[in-house]
Amino acid sequence: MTHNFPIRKIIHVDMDAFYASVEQRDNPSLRGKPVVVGGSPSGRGVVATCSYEARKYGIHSAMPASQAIRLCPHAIFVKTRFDAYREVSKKIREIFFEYTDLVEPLSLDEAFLDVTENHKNIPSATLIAKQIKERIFEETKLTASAGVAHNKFLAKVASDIHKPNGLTLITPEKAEAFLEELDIKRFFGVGKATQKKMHAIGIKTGADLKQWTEIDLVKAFGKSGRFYYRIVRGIDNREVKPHRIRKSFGKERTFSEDIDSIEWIHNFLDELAQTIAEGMKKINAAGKTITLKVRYKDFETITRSTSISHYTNRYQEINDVVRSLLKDTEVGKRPVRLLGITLSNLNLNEKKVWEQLELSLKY
Amino acid sequence: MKFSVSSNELNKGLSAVIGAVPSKATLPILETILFECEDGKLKLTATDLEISIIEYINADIEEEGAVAIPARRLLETLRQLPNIPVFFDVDDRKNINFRTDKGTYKLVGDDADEFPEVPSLDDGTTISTTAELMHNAIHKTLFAVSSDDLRPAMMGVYFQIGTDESKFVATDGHRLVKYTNREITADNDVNFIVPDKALSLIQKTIEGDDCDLTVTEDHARFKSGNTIVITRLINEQYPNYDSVIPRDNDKFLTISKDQMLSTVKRVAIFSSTTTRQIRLQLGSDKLTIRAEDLDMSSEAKETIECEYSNDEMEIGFNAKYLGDVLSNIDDDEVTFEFSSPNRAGIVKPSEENENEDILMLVMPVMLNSYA
Repeated sequence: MTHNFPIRKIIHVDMDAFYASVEQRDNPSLRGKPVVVGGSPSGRGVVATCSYEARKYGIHSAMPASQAIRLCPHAIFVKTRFDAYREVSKKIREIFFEYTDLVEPLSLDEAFLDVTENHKNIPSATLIAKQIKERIFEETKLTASAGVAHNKFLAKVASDIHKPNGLTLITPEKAEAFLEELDIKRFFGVGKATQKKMHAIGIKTGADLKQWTEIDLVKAFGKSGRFYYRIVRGIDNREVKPHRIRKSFGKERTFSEDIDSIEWIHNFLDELAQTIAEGMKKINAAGKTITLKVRYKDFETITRSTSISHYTNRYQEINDVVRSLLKDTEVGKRPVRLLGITLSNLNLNEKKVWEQLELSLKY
Repeated sequence: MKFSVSSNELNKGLSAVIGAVPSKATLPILETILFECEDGKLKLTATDLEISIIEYINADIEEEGAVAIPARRLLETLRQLPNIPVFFDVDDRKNINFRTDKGTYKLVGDDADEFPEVPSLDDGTTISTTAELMHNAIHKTLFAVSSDDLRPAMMGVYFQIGTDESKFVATDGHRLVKYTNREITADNDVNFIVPDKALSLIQKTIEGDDCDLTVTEDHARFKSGNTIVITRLINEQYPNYDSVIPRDNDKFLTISKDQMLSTVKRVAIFSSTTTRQIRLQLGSDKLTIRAEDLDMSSEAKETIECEYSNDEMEIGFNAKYLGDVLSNIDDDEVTFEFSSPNRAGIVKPSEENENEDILMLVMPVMLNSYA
């Protein structure tokens, strides 16, 4: 893995109105309605997230619940269910890891991905972002917005442009022009108070901000001035820092038409096993658990897995296990729309990985 | 401008304001200290544009005036002098000549008009308290402030000054401290975030009996004794810390603070240097703390008596974070409230105090369980 590529390809993925969308997904009676997740309107709590329907009334996160109920008396208040959010979070992270190991989660519902080099060798980051969005929807029935750019700041700004369910690319050539036109409130790192102050001195867009020298910005805003000076010029060299090491390695494919030919499937899995074996060798890893995933025509999805006594990344061994797992499915009898193989229990993880947990602070 | 001052007095004044002089200044004028005369006293001012410190010292002023004097060279000279009088003479071209009975020294200063204006805070809210209470409130919270540039709101202590009580909150996402004091109050509610650097400078310079805190939209001024510290506030929304404080932790551990702290410190020596992770095993009236460093094949285990009667459980922590919160407890006994190995633990003194409460959270360290 090299880090000295001149131009990196960064994707910022951000789930749309995350907690509220999960609630609406799991409780159809909430759909299309102003939903507020967080404190109860009679208590002292604050809004954690609210649905887009609720935002129309001026409700936003971190607002006291008592104020939210005044703005929209028929808003529906629901309690947070972190276990459900974590569940979704886990799923979307698994999708990210199918593409790259360089994943930096910012919270349960957003992450930076560095896809300059990716497991699927897809040259276009926009295409990857599009696939990830589709995969997220397929797996979770939730929408995400994605931003694609050559650094983290621009990717984060981009993901916010066409929310919800947006996909925005900012090319290096267009970055400066884009930032010049951008409303100052869209700059990541410019909060409400700073925004007010910038307006007071005539800074409304990136172009206004760009007129200022570094020294004057520091005088006006303190240390953050230096940061504003750099970001309005699209300069941000922070790397995507992955928090954890890979736990599994898998690939799967959805077919354009449903398949029932067992020979065809044997051939396909054969090739897939080969791809997995090569991929594993590339990252110097081997695994003990082999999982076969099958989605039938009617979307019923099953997995079958076996753990062997030693670590392997040999094609023949993987293929043999997959063949025996296949016998425990109805493949060949029922048409299949997706097949996948995953190797987990990797030797990369033999050393215990301790993780410092974070308080889930929301603004 | 002409004045004479004892080197000790000047040294003390310069040392108080030097904290505001930036080590790498964007503007050369910031590397100076402004000398002015006010009410028969010498007024020293230093600023980095974020934080300004003003200190009044006694001096014999022969001829009034003002000048900005290069800070480091002056302070270094003063530090090398015994306690003797120093005579200053500044001419119109800002040549600064000073002499002692050891010899004469010359520096070139800057025009006082070039020195940045320090915010006046004329129309702010004022909170009158004591230096001791303010020092304590800062001391109790400052250690938990975040240093993560991406979360600027958390890079300071959140002051929630109220009419009945005031709360001081700091968190870096791994631990959180909420300190409540019922002796610090104001006529109306005011909330603001003070950057950590300003607070550590206030800690160093706060003196005397009273402390007056004045707050405006953008700035706060801490005035105590002969010292005034003015800082820009962090103009950000503070995270909703209340929502992360667990309400339903149902496992209670009460233990001697000193005993636990020394055990944590000893056992931590055997933890992995990268994770600093130690494990607490809670059993019936007994707490076992272990650590191991697989790379070095070393391990340690200590068992101490405690009060615990809930289900057995094991929970891991970063020894530094745990040590920090334990050290911050003033009581002999400390009470922990846990729920599960992946949820925040509450730490507080066993005895309630009439005028103050402290509640701390520590997030555990656990085996990564994604797969």
